[in-house]
Amino acid sequence: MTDTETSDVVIVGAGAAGAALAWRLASNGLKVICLERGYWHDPSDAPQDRPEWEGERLRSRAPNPNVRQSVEDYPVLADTSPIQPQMFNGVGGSTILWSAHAPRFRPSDFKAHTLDGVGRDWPIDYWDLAPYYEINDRMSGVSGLAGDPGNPPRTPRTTPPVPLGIAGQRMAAAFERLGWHWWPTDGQVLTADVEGRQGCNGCGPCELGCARRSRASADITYWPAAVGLGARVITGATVTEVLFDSPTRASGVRWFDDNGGEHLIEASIVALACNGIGTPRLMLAGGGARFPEGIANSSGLVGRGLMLHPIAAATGVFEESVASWAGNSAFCLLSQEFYETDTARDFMRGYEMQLTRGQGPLITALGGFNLDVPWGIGHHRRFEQLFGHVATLAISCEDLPDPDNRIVLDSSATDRHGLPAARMIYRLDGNSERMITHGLAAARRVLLEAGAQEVLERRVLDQTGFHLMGTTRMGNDPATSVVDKTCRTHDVRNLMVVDAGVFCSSAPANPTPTIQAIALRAADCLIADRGKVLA
Amino acid sequence: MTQAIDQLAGTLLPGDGRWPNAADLGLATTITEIAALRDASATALLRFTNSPPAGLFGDPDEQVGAVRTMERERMVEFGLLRALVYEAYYRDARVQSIIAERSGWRMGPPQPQGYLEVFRHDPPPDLSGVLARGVRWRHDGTDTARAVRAEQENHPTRTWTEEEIKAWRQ
Repeated sequence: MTDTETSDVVIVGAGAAGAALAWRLASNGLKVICLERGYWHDPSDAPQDRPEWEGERLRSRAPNPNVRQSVEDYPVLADTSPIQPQMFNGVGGSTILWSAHAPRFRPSDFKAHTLDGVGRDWPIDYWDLAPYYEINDRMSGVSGLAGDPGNPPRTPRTTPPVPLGIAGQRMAAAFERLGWHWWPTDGQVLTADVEGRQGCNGCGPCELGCARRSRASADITYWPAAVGLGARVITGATVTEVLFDSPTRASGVRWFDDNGGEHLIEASIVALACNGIGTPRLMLAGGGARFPEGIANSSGLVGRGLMLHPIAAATGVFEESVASWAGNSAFCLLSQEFYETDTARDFMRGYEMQLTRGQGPLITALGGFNLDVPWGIGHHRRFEQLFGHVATLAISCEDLPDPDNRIVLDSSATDRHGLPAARMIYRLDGNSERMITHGLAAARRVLLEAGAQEVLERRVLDQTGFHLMGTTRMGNDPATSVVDKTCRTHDVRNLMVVDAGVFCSSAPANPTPTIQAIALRAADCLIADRGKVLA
Repeated sequence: MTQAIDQLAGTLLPGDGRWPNAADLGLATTITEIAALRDASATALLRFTNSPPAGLFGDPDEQVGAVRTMERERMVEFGLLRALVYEAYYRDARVQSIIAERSGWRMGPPQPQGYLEVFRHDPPPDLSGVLARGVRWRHDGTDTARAVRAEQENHPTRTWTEEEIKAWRQ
């Protein structure tokens, strides 16, 4: 027999967005149930204190679900894409395996079409989101330094920035000599003890988890607070269908537990927060016979307009050691010198450069992001030249929306409950290609200025599809967007989407703070309208 | 089985000066244990040990040729096997002590100590140059942007409060 529960709001997905939404709604007295197909993960289990720590990146902590193949994962077929999907299913979502680099979008990112005639404008602007960025920073804890002239002002950061180290200082001096922008990066990694979380001790691979809890993840920031306010998380809960009591009103969801048991939750609001792949997959597959073309898909845009951040890498090899095994792997300083459109260049919009480091012996030997390490004779000599001697500038490019870049269903594979796989169809456009060329030349210039003896380049890193944006985009016009500016779908007013699928532009910056700010804002919009939308 | 694994390991990572030949470290058991942690790796190892590439047990040139052929023709399997061999090799204390000696790296996993010692003498970042170059973010055409930019230009180091930022909302 199928059991049924009721709630004001049911959220599908307990990641960065679902957690922020749940906390904000529960803070305002709403009954919230969140269904998560994955499980809780104890931060103390992070592998950095075990001999196999580096190998875990290739197995249980692999960010690519097709490599990890955990029971809770679903297949994402991407054999034709130059960039492979990266995500995690569990309480905390992909923040369980993230590097916690936390830049914000800039004001111009919300008006790309108006300012530059490319991409799409958002129906909201930076100033709408700024207060929510602040709330999110307070909830997550952010290290960094306020005052960056490359961005609008923000409040003082929770703790000082992560240290630059030898490589960071060299790079900072090089940027300075070139007269280019740089700034210590905002990161959701605390550098001093705060409220039960220990300060970072620079061990390196934040993306494997953090037993010290220096690095934020939604399971240790928002979820304890949300649960304390009465929100419930049900794990091992795979949602297969959104239920309706009329064509324009959702009534809840159907979900299955680990043992195949079927359950229903009836709710006044259904909120999807399964990331830019999982949400369109559920919307396309989970409408039953009533919506064979997908839920809330009168625009035909559900799944379309996938934006990633194409990432190129330039690695400088230094004669002296720069101790590159140490320090937060993905961030310490950031340059946004080429962030904005310059019509003198042959591409629109821009990119940012971030210094990466923190690679141990195994990953170095395997070539890391970008290294050329032969096997056989010559392996050890090359390893010695590289290990501890490299600094990599990752070039994160804004991706313009293209309707042909999309998520579709592919029944050639299914998850454990029979729902079809997602297929990711993606190609780089000419704008990205030209941007990458410019970015690599700029990064090479900085690295040589910093004293690198050799610069290794890679145009597109394949295992970098972390930022899954644009597949259920936001807008004022139901014909050209899936959700409105409050994240409610145009077609089904009590159905929300609160992940990066709603993004209208990708910006060059990592999306998580923007995802969480949007979720918090969506919660406030819902609360303001609660009299109308809560049955 | 052990012989084939050792032969592959020694071909991928031959000795060089102080660096030991991987075949001499007795890594086959560790490699098998690591392979068991992931289905794809276990399958690749089983396939390799059941039918090692021709030439693997030949003279040194034939060994290299056999592995090169496998790298070219069975790329995915080769990648998995190479990762297994490297993981076992770079986890070995004898290898890690050489890395430590030659690079200054502290052998063993990075926690619980971390690497704060690397950053102990970091000076505070000198941001005077960046600040001197002025506000760099682009005006989005709103009155709020105009007002905030002007204030930021005039007072680049002032402290902002959450309440002030909340008041920016249109």
